[in-house]
Amino acid sequence: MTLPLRDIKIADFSWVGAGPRATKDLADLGAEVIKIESRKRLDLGRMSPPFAGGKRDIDASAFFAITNTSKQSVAINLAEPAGVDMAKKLVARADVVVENFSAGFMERIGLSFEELKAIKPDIILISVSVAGRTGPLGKIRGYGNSAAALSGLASMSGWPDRAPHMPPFAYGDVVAPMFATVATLAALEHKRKTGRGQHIDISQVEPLIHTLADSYAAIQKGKPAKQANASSSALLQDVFSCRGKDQYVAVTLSTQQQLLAAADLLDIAQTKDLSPETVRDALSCYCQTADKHAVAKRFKQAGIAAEAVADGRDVYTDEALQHGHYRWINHAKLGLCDMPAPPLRFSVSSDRVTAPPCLGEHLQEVFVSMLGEDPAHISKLVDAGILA
Amino acid sequence: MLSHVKVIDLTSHLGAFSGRMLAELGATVIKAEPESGDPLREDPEAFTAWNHGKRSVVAPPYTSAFSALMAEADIVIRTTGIPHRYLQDLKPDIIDVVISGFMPGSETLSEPVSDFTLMARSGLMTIVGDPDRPPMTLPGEQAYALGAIQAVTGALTALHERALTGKGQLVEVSAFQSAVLANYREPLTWAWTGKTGNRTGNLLIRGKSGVRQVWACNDGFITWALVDNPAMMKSFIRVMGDHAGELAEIRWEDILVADMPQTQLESWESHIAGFFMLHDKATLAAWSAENGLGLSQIDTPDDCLTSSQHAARELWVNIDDVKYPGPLWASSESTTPSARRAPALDEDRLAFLGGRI
Repeated sequence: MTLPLRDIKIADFSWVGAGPRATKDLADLGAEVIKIESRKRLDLGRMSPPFAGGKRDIDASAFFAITNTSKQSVAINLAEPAGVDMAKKLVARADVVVENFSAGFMERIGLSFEELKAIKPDIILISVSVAGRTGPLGKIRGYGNSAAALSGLASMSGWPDRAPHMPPFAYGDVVAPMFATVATLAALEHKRKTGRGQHIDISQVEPLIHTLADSYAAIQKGKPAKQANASSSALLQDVFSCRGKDQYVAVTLSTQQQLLAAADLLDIAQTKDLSPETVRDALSCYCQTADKHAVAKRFKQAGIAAEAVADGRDVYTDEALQHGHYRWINHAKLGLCDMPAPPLRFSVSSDRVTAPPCLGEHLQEVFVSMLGEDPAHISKLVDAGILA
Repeated sequence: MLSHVKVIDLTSHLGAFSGRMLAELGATVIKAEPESGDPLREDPEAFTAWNHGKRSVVAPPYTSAFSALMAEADIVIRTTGIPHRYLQDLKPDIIDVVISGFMPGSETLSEPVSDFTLMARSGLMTIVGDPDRPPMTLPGEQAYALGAIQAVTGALTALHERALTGKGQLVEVSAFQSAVLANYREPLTWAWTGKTGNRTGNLLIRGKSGVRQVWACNDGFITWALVDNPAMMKSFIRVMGDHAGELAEIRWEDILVADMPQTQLESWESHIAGFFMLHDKATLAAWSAENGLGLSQIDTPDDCLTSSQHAARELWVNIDDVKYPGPLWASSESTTPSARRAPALDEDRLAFLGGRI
């Protein structure tokens, strides 16, 4: 078993979420990802809780860790021309450059696509930004909620009788990097066939719209924008309150057969003109005194899609995730802990999840061993504050 | 980009977005459909949403038509139920991508799932919605979409491996695990702090108090929050002008919003709410862009469908008078899908099977 992307090299200038989540995927699949960081302008992920030991430490954020496994880190001061020169050496040996800086930054430091091409003619540049780099919003700066706001996701979220809802996690930072991973792999395939690199400009807004393609079509045909927990392809779909504080089970009845199976479990199969509403009422009543896991199990055994609504603890301990989703790593600051792996299993290839890097951890390996720089020169750059 | 790649698509609902993405990248994606057609055809808009750019041939597995298609295929995308060995016998270097709710081979694999129940089990629903109401899911079918995107990553990764070694392989994808990865905070927080999250509505909780994230303005809604960013707060107060009231007196460098009592925050927020109600979302968004206020307008679906941004980037394509998202991104290399509509059942029989079957 070998790592499928073992021959791919990535110079990763990206930070926070929208870029690093993509390069984590690629690193876990075997690409060599060198994360180019700044000590002055820290990757904000490094400052995000929770921290191992409970105290803020740029090398001990578990949040940063899950987004940066299997990578190497160097810290370069890109405000200095000598720093940019070192970055260019990493570009020269890379297949792919990834960045999610604000508009114009790469150009200002001399790393525009044209300049990257001059260094490496078939380079693939992947840029991720809030709304893409072209169009009237091509220069806007991103905030946590921008992608949800500008994609319609927030408008379609929440209860129909209330204001739009901002889901409390940066979903634009989840889907856009997945598109960036696909873009990288597709561009590598294109390069293999044509010898040509390219600049791919990924918006955080557009991938969210893509995931809502069928909802957008339905809305144009007059369906309400907010569906809450209902689904137009189900006879009945909702959550039902179960025994205990804030405990629920989620149930989908898609077919008449499932509706009858549910009625049977609820002892209302003999009801005349059985409707989804009758089943809803009986289910609400039944769940009040039942455990969410027990209800889900009983319904699933009857061929009905049902799951307990899980919280963080339920997910962490979920039986279905105990065989390959979490992988053990040993890290200088985090200690022995587990990190999520790609949700993929290959019969020929393998994947890996290795410890995320401490800031600048791979300075010597990258510049001296890999690039063959003179150790004395590297020391001088460190003393001058250009490398760290 | 992928015009040399041929894909056989056996999916109907879960996984349909995978072939759609590959078709958009220029791959030839052939739906090998049963005689009765993909059941999703009963919902024409949903069918078009996930199938535009694909081709169609009636060619269910175990028929000679299917074998003929397979002989030239690089990738198959499907759910469980067909032995990998059968596909491998038809095409030894095939990349066989299987997407299902749970990872094949696990005890949970055979359990019935819907997108909604996968979202429930992923932990995402517990934190979505309002504290005074039950948990809720995200719009659309996000667990299915996330799984489908991961399946494309799996397919293209295996294509890369095949270019290196000549070997095809089986790639299995769990939509459940894909959704769990989207829930990047909750299991992590439990593992490291022993705390579980819950629904906070539109309040962003920082420290002991929460700040509003969604505000009404005079023609809709915007998103903005009081944050510990003194430069941004000063710009904001300047833009508020006379409406700032008591906010004008605050020395933002000397306080931490996260430490303010809830009643104080709500008093400040009432001034801000009044200010937003005087203006429309476009004006507020323009001020934010000029002054770095950290505010975004909340676009309605209609706003998105008519947005000048999306028009400039040619995001929407028109098919039978309905707009669907087309390109996945912008690129310096052009990519053209083979068609800008969903295929009629079996319409590409001649093109792909000729007189052979």
